[in-house]
Amino acid sequence: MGCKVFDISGGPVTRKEVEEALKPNPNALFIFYNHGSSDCLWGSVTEKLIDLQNVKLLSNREVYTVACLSAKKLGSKAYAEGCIAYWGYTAEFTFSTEAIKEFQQFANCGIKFKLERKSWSECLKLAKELAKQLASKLTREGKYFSAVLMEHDSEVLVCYNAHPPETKCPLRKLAIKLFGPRRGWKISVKNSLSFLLFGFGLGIAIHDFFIECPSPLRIPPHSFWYGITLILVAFIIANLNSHSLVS
Amino acid sequence: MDEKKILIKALKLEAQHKPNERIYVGFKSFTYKEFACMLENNSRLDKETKKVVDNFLKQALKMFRENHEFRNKMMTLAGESR
Repeated sequence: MGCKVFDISGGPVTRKEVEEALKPNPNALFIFYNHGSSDCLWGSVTEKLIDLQNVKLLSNREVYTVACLSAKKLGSKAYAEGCIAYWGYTAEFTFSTEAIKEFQQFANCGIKFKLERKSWSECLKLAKELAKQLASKLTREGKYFSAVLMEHDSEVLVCYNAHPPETKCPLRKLAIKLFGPRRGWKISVKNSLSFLLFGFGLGIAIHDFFIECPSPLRIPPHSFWYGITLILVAFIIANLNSHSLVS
Repeated sequence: MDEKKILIKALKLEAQHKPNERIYVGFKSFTYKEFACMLENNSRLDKETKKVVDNFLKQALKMFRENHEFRNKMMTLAGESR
């Protein structure tokens, strides 16, 4: 396939090993098969390899995980931090011993499709179709526990590139609607609070000015408008510098 | 018999044939026999295990309602086919 592979699998892996492997290889695809939690990927029972503290290592990178739960928070955060694609699961990855081959086939299919130069959208679609076919096959073979687990895995499989992370937060939904999925996910609680307070404060000031001033829109303009313009420019510069809206 | 009872009956029958096959859900693992018993009675389970069992049943019910092939197989196994 013409790919260079850095393989640090085969035993417990430390955070330092992973960081040292990722940092000098900024465009490398990161493939992870091990345990996960909603906010991290585990290298051993005690050590987190990637979590919300070093998730920026996944920026501008494609990530393929077969691990429980990590797409729920870690994947969303990685997406917000500019991860090109995060393939993972929003709940536990399940399998059974009587259908190991079928679960292996499903777990590995995404990366195989990707190596065939398909888009992440196509890979996700094909993976879910494969899961349906495998679940049907398992049903026909009388492996009903396995069929249910296969359908479950398919349902909780996501790829943040093919689609953005889901959210129940109405403010996040509004941000996504206004600024698009990438920028909408980049906006933090601090940013959105500052925007809201700034907007309300500005609105109140302009509203009161119109009430109190007999000719608010005179030419030459009141110095109020110069002040408001300076405040607006300062706010825009401050937010551009903090990369809140610029990817 | 209601859908949930049909499912549990059918899955218990499957577990009888393969009692030692295992299910893995994240860090947790159960034999089919253990899991089938938990499906029927999950009142004494710890919070996490109860969630695993409930999610499995929820998924199974969804398949039962949406997948004719799965539904027919479950009904036949449970002795409820018409």
